[in-house]
Amino acid sequence: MKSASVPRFSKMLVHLMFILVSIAMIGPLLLIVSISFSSESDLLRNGYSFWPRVFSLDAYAIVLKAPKVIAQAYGVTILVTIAGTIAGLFLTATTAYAISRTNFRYGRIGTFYIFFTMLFSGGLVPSYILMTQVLHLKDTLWALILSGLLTPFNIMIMKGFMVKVPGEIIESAKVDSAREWTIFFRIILPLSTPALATLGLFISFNYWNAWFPAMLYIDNPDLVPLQLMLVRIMDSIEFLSQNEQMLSQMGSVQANFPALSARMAMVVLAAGPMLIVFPFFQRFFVQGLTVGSLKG
Amino acid sequence: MKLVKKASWTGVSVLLAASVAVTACGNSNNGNSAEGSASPSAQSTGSASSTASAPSTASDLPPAELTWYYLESTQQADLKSVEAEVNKYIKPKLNATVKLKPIAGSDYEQKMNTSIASGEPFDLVWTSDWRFDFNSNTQKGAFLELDELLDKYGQKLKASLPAAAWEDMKVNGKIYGIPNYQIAAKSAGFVVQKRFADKYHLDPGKIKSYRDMEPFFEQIKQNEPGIIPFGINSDFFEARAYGVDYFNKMPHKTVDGKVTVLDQFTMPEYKQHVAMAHEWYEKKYINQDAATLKNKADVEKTGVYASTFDYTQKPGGEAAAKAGNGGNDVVFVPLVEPLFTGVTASITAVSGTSKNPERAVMLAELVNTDPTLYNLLAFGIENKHYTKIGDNTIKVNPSAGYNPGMNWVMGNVTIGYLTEGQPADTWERTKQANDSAKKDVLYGFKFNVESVKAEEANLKAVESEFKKVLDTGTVDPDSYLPQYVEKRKKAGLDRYMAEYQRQVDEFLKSKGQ
Repeated sequence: MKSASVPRFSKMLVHLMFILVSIAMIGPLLLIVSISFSSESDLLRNGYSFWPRVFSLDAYAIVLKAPKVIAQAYGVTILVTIAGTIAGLFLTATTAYAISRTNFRYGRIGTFYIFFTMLFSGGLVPSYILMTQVLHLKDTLWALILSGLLTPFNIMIMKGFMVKVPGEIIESAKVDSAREWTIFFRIILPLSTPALATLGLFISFNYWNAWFPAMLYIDNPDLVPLQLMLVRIMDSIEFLSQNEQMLSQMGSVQANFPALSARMAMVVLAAGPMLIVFPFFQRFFVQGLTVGSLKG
Repeated sequence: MKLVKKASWTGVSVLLAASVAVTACGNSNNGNSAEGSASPSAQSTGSASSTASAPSTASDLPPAELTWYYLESTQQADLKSVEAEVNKYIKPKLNATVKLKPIAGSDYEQKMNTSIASGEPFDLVWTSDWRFDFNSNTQKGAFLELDELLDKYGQKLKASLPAAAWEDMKVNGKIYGIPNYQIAAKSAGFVVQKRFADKYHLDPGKIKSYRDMEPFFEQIKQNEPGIIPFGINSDFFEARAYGVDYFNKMPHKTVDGKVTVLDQFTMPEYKQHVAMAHEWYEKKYINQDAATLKNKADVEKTGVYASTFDYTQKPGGEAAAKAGNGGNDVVFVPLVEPLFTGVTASITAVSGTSKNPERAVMLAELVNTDPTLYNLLAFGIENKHYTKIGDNTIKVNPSAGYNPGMNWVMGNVTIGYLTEGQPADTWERTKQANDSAKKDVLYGFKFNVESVKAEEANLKAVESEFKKVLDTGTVDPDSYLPQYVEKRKKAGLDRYMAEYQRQVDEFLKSKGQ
């Protein structure tokens, strides 16, 4: 009797802890959604609340004022995310596979070469010069895709996973006269699904959230991705609300600009799609998370 | 999800910090070499054309394409048609075309820093003392020295602005920028909602010091529930209101022609000021969230602040302040005489990497002296992007795809149109106010922080800990001010002040000659 109640108590404690942690994470998210649907004047007078006291869609009306532009920005982001994730995942897997093979002569030096860039990278200015003056990719989507294609950290995680694939499997495949590409596609990749899913998620988050490369390389308004556009809208809101001269020129419409709620509406728009994508990966995610911890 | 996001944000910020550091180092080398390579070519083209042909016959010059980076507020959908119109206009005059490259404010600094560090060629670039700093970028060698170029190709431009404006463009005695001329006469003071000023008979003429506002604050406090007498979220210290000269936030005094800079925070006047601020805070005259409020404008537009403080108070500015105050009329209550604070708030400079610096200056001259071109850039095409409603007044068409609303970025605002609602004599009053305003003895001085960079960073760090809470009266200065002064001493204040004083002496000596 006693021995049964102790685990139950500790189980409750664990549950309680995780409930608290979950609340700490879900709470702010709910608050953001609530603020984005609240009326600005109510926010200023009464502060934030978890349920909009005065429901208003003004913020979304402002942010979505030019729906075509937003749709285009979504399009650019989705295209870059999909293309970048597929290409990035493929290159990460092939690179990691090569350096993970024990009978590859340059495996060690290759690993070090990749690891070295984790410690010392070329920096911003050289990569800017490379992108604009050597490759001439300014104002193209390539600039957005290439800049996030390979991450040394991801390669290391992938390698850590692949190293654990027993060499005997590869040997026996060879005996069955499989060639290198067949081994890679038919044996290694299917075995690495959890790692691929995890890294795929990482890479796609990176592409989805990236605004910095776009800020540097994109001038053409048609190629601006979502995140950069939201950063710009945010900045112009701040700029508008602090620049009285401009306010007076724009008339009274701008004076009632929903600055607070518009900011939150942008967060919802930027994070929303990823919230939907995440559950699809979740199945692999738990399994994949342990990948990193077991390497070494 | 949260964790992943957070990790990636940290990643981004680390990356940002690293890239800033990299740009900072990269700049000094690259900028110098850029200048080194560009200035001889500038001189050679200059001398070549001066012997060959007069600058007025621009069509003899080979065709050139210029690139012009400048600040924009929001993306302009119809930029292309404006650019085409501009090029149609300037092509016969300069035999050159220009590529307009407006950059959003949020990106401006980072993008220009990277571009300059990488030595990218472009011609004209917007700069200022508050975003993409003019002074420090000039010291790095990002911009071309303009004295000679202006004498050869920009005489009309040079003559169109008062000498004082050019004086402010000088760094180490040389001109490095073309000011986008606008209001420069500023006086600090209170901005009071008219409805309260009238109700409690506040006479702006009678307010001579901070303390004179107290009866008004007390009345508001007593009789207007829900209204905060004085709304601030930063400092409101103006040393000139205490009879101490104050320029670029640096107090100084002149005794027998010898100028001495003073440390603001050990001045008895400052102590007196923050003691008063604390008293006001305790009496709840000041909003209780003054030290933590992020964006005062958000609250201000609800009209709950009976008064605020402002360092500009420009002619005709009441209309603008009204819009920021939720549509309530305001009156300005200046505490001090207007001071000519300089023209570094908006500058166009010629890039050190420019391949056609002479054409860049000629274009800048045309923009600043030809109202047709200036208005085209600032407001777009007539009857498409705006319609004329008076001699010199226009009504902007907000849905036509070109309404930057930033005429002060393009050039001399006083040659352009006025927008609906601005009084017809705004530009005359602006010019007059600029001409009649007093100039500080340190006017035109630019501090070169290079040799005391470490001290400046330390002082900034200490400042972020103490300055705001003291300035807004949130904490008791009796216990916090001595701590602040002590920490500033440790942060290297003496060396910083000595260097500042040395540069001031040098500046005044060179000016005296």
